[in-house]
Amino acid sequence: MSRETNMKQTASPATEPKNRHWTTLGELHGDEAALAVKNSEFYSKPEEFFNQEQATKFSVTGDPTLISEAAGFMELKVKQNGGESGGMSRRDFLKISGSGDGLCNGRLRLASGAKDYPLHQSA
Amino acid sequence: MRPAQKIIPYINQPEEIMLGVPNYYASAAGGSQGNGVLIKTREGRPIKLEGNPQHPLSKGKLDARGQYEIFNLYDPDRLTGPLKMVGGQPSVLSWGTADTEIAEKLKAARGRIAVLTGTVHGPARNKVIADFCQSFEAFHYSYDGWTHHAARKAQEMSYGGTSLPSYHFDKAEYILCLEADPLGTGYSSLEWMAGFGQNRHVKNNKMSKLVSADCGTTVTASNADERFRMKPGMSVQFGLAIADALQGRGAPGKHFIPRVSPFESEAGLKPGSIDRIATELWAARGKSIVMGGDTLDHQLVACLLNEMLGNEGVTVDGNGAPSNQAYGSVVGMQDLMNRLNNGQIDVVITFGTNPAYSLPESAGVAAAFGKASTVIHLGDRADETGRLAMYLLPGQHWLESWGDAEPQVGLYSVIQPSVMPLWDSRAAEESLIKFAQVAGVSGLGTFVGGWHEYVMETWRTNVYKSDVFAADFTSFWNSALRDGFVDLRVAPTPRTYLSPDLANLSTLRNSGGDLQLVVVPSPHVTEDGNANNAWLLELPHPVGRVSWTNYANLAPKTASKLGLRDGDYIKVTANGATIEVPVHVQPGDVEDVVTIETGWGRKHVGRVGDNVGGNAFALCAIENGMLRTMGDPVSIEKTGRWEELPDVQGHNYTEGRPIVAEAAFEEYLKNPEAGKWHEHELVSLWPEHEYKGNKWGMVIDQTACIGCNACMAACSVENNIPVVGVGQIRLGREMHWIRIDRYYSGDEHEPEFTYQPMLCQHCDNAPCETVCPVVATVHSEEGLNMQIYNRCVGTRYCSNNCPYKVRRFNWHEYTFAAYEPHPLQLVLNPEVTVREKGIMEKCTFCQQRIREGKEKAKEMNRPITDADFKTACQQTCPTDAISFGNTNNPDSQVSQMKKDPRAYNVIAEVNTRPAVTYFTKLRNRPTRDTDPYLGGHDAGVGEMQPKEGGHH
Repeated sequence: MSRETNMKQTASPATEPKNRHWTTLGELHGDEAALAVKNSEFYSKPEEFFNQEQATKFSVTGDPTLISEAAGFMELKVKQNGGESGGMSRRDFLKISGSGDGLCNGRLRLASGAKDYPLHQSA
Repeated sequence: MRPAQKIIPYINQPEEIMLGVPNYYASAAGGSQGNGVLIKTREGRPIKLEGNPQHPLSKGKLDARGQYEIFNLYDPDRLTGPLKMVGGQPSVLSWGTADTEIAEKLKAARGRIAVLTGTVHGPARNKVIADFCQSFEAFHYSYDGWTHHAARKAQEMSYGGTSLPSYHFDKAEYILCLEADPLGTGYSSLEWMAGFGQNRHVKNNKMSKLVSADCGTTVTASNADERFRMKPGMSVQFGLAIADALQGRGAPGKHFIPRVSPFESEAGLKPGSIDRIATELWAARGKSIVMGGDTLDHQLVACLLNEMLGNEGVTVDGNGAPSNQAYGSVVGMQDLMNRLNNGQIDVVITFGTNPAYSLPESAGVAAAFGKASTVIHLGDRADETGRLAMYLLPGQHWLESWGDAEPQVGLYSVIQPSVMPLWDSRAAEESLIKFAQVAGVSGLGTFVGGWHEYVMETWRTNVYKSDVFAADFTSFWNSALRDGFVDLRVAPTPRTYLSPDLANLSTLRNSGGDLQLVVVPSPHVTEDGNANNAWLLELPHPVGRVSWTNYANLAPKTASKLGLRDGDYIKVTANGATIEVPVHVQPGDVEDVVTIETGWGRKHVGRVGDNVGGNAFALCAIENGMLRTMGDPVSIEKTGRWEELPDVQGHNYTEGRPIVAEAAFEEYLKNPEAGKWHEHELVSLWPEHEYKGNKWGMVIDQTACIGCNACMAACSVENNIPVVGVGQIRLGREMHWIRIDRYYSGDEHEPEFTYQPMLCQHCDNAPCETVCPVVATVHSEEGLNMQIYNRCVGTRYCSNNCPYKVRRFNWHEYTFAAYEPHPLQLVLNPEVTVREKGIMEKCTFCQQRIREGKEKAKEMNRPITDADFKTACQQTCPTDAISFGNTNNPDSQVSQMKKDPRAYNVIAEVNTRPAVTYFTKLRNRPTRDTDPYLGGHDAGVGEMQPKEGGHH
């Protein structure tokens, strides 16, 4: 059996005529602060956790335990430079780039029928 | 780089231990519920508790508290050796010295000794206390924070005995709760959840119905098919009105039922509500249960209704195998304090109870204990009561010691140790025997042997009956140890109803004030050591979804009137005491009621639990030998302090996509697909996965799920889920691999609740897999979405792209260093990797269990089946809401369930093709169309039309 054939592949309208299901009163009432939290994918504030010192240490020592600090620092810099608030959110960016990738990839895969394999053995 | 760690094998390997292969031991949980458990041990240390599938109460299930009990064993804040308070300072002493000193004091105080315990059941545990009391002419008192004394008193008035009944929820098609919370905080809540769950799966177009009349949103109230909100105490009149209506339907016996009409208009109910509920109850007579809350009035009305409905002796068992699960008494406690204050008691021995915390300060526990010349504490920690003691002699966790249990009359369990004591401790019962032996008193003092021998001897004389059991005692004992229990219960017979005078019911205090106080037990945190259980404190409240604190629940209107919002700290004053807690605005609560849970606000329980939340026991008063928890006037004062509540609900960004499907049962009967979202055919750009062997899948029945959190707890223990603390929770960084999303529908004053367990959906078209730049998340050939920890570099793209928000990132180091101090590391499951900082993790469908199941099948040279393993969440779910198995096997349970017309996928329109399927939430109530009495809600989801412009 190739996959679950008993499930209809379905889609649903992604809009609700009313705020039928809600999780907090702020959401029910459309409270701006609550919605800001609700609609924020990234609770984290990079500046709370990441600093240049750690990023530099990673670049110098290559200590893998510091990689997330370095990544966070990069994210912080992008944000500070208006990356996220300057027009396009990371989600929107990923939607566009993901769609593009998906279309290209899907077409290529359909054409070739080749499979991707993850790296099996590292040096 | 981490240093390599050495693995050292056994030099002399014990015969029963094979490295890497767990051993299971049957036992009984040491708490008052006495549920049968299986203890999973690895290399001699317990790592997981599960329900004993054979045990008639737990039926293989365990609740959140039971799952997290393992943490209490390894709690580093337990006492590590005997202490004696000298000049206000603890000093170490040996057990021998302690025994000698205490034996002398006991001999001198003969006749002036009290043993104070919590609820104790089990033939040996009861007998050793009785023998000790006989040897020293001592008095035995039992006291629990929640004594259920009202229920026992009502039983006495209605039937002449003080036994608490056992309730058979598995036989109940209709359950009416009058301010009762059997599913959240009942004295046998796990048994009742399991029984309730059996009738929540639609079979032959039937399901049970739960109706609740209450003032607060408890676990039970939030799961009610129909809920009637009313002021505290009015549910007594609600019950009486139903009794009145039942009498008109020919219920047996002539009962004087006080007139409560026109109750409906007074309570704000729609006309005809009472009549309809009475009609439904009458139709379910003999197959229903009425449960009352924690007041005498509620309990008396519940007894009356059960009697009228013929439930007595069928679903209510008061004489066959009644419950032993709650014996505490405020009256007894008052008697003890009177004796102490009158100088009649010199020595007090305590264990298993904590009155210094769970009685209001006005009760004067500390002062009364101060009158005793010697207080000996045999508990596991220096808690509030322990700190009143001169001798602190550490007791053992029930996983370390022998013991027994008899939660229902005739249902016996042996508690057997599964690990050597972690500290220099001794079972409290062992101490009683030792004291008697050293004192050389007659009776218990002449017993040769220790507590283990005592348990065996008691079972030989009190449980084993050679005319009943064919085997000799040794075989019988070994069988009891192996199975975990012996069931000698007998069937109930209807008792004679004594028609107590109900003329003076509804006497609940009318506060006359603006606000009324309601104090309720917490479904998680109790007054013992589990208040220091970090896992348990981090577990969000089932209804409020707030962790790490208790709070004052206020209805939205009340909060608005008082100018309060979530997180505002208030001083709550009642009965002369004041506590400070944050406000939580709870939709569905009744206006002008302040509801606070107990179990929190501990002063001395340990590093984790001290000073977390407020102690609501302090606000109660004692009246007629009972703790008065409902209806007292209360005042609140805003302190000006605000802190964001650690509320996990609302963290998850789902772009407003449709997630919950729900329908009225009546709609379902007409259209089995009622409530589901409109469906379209989807086209995928991705090639299909080929699953030539197994394909794992899960089905979650939202109608059966009651949101109890047991799955979350089981998952945490099984998969080494770290505790992140209150600050990280506020940042949305909880680490639970499975969470319960609680959704409201309807308006804020009278919402309905839906609980939706949400975990990794193991999508076929997994959005997380496509965005990982290092291929750390990949698809297995069995449909599992796998996370490869040592490939992950922590970009969090996968989490970003997951529409279900089920991926968890290790923002901090939660590896071994986080499990300091010793022995916390022992709680880790060696079968699951402990993840490092900077990497992503998520549900694995308990892959380690799948592998174990495969190995089992391989040994037997057959394909793996559903019976070979269960995921941790599935295994523990008290209501059997979770099913798991191989969807490539057409005969498997999940394959069959996925064909059910109620089956749907969450956020199906993004075409992730999840392996997890949900069943539409059904509420066993009429639709709005057919029942004009239902109000406050809009039409069901199934009746909705998509808004114009909605995208597809």
